[in-house]
Amino acid sequence: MRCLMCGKDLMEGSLTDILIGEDPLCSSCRSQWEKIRWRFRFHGVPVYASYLYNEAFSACLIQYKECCDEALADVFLTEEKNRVKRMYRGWTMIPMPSTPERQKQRGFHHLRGMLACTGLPVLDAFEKTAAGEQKKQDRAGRLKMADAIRLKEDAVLPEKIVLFDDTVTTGSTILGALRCLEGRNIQIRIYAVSVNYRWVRKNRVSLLFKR
Amino acid sequence: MQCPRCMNTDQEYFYHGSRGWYCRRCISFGRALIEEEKEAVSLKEIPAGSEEYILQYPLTQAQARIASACAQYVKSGDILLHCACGAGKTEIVVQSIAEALKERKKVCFAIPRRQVVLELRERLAQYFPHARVIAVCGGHTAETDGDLIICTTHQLYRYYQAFDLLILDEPDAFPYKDNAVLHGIAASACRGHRIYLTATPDAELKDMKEKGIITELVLNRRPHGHPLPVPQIHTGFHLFLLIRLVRWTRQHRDHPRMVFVPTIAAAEGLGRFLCLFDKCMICTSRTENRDEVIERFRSCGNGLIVCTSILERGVTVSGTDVAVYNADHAVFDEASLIQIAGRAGRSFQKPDGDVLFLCRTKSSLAEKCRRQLEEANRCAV
Repeated sequence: MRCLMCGKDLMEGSLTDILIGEDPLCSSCRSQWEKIRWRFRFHGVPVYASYLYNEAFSACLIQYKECCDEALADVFLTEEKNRVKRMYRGWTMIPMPSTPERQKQRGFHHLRGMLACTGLPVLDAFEKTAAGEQKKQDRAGRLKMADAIRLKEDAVLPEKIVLFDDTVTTGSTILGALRCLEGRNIQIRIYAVSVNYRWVRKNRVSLLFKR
Repeated sequence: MQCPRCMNTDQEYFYHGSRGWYCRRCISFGRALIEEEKEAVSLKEIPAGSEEYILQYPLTQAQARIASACAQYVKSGDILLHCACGAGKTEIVVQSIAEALKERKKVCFAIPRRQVVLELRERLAQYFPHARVIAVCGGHTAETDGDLIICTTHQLYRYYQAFDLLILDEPDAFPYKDNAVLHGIAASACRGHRIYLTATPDAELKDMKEKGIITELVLNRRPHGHPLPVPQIHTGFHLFLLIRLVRWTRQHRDHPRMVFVPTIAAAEGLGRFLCLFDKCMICTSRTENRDEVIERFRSCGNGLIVCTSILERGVTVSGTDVAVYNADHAVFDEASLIQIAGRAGRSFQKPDGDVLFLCRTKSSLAEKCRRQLEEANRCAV
């Protein structure tokens, strides 16, 4: 087995790589990810975040999403698999949508791919209305993205749902999803694999003032 | 199974996804599906007349001989053009480029380093005034088709089977050296023949020459006819070397002086120390306004710059003298020492530069480098 990012042979790596051979990344690649396991609230909804969105994480995510490297699907949740399974037993994961064109180009659903190893039920309830690459937009453009998301007409929502996204940078997609769900009598949680530090800080501060 | 783009055959790198098998070794260039029929990239037809060229200086006799030999051999095979630093490699291949353009063949000039791409585009655009010469590198990718394409070796992934003549400049430089992905991409971009230009062929090129895959053409003489500067080597302890270096900078204060050091930390330390005696610039990969610093050094005429090996290739400042501090450090290999020594004495006005290697321990590499340069000077006669 080789490390999926750096290509180094895992059997030549450190002792932990050899003994606890579950991780498809070698320990030096993995150690560049900052595991945080933060819990906080966003507009009253409990959020759980596993990693900080740093350079190593974004490099891996870009290789997975933009270069369509499906082999990386399991990398993101290997460490959190059991915890996530336990936390969200009985909940349904709702991935944030990407545009149909991108989806078709990739040939696979990147968020479903990440969740496959947890075995949790997944439901595609949202769709994106406006096309346009999110990563190319500036902050103002990204904030507008909140309006570009809507519930599918034929979507039947279960009672306990988890909004799931790979990375939360400004929170606008999540905010849009929350707006769509306003007024419904369902329990909502948010799980972001990675979060931007600035967004979290902003939310934490506002939370403090409320108290 | 073989990857059509990077020529990888190692089965461990292949992965079966929802679209079929793909190669993970070159995944950073996007997904390349194995089963998909890849079509050769077709580029625009070259207009007539673009092959006319003007050189700033006429070629010397030795250069002209090599140039026409190169233009002739390249029609039937690959060539290693082994020329000393400053011998005018670019000018020598101009004839081969022109002959290829005349036959409406697509030509590409690929270089590992981005900075050199932009510099070279300016030069080649002057040589070929009627051709559209374009540079393709990070930040310049809006236009990818022209009569003559200058690009970084990374950008070759855009041109699958597109070129009849691929000129690889400095194939022994980072990041192209020993990079299997870039080697594969270069191989798949070229449907015709290749010319390798270098002053210091690495083991791989030498091996290819031994096997007879490529023809080697050697030119050890610079256009001004003076021998290559041979380094003086001094060995001693730290303080002795510092004193030696300060004396050297004072002796050569009328010329631009470059002091190469092995690490960024050493560059900053030594830069601060030399500031006590003279105005001193520092250039490392951490320097943000690198282009500006180099430009200032170039225009100033008798500046002093302390730099790491990033300035080892492709940077030409006329009339420089060069010193290497701690030349026995592991970051310098034989090729980089020869390249560094090749920075000196490149101009017609001051054809004999001064090169100084300062070592803390006796270094066989520095000796080897000196012997190679002496050998080259002997062969040139």
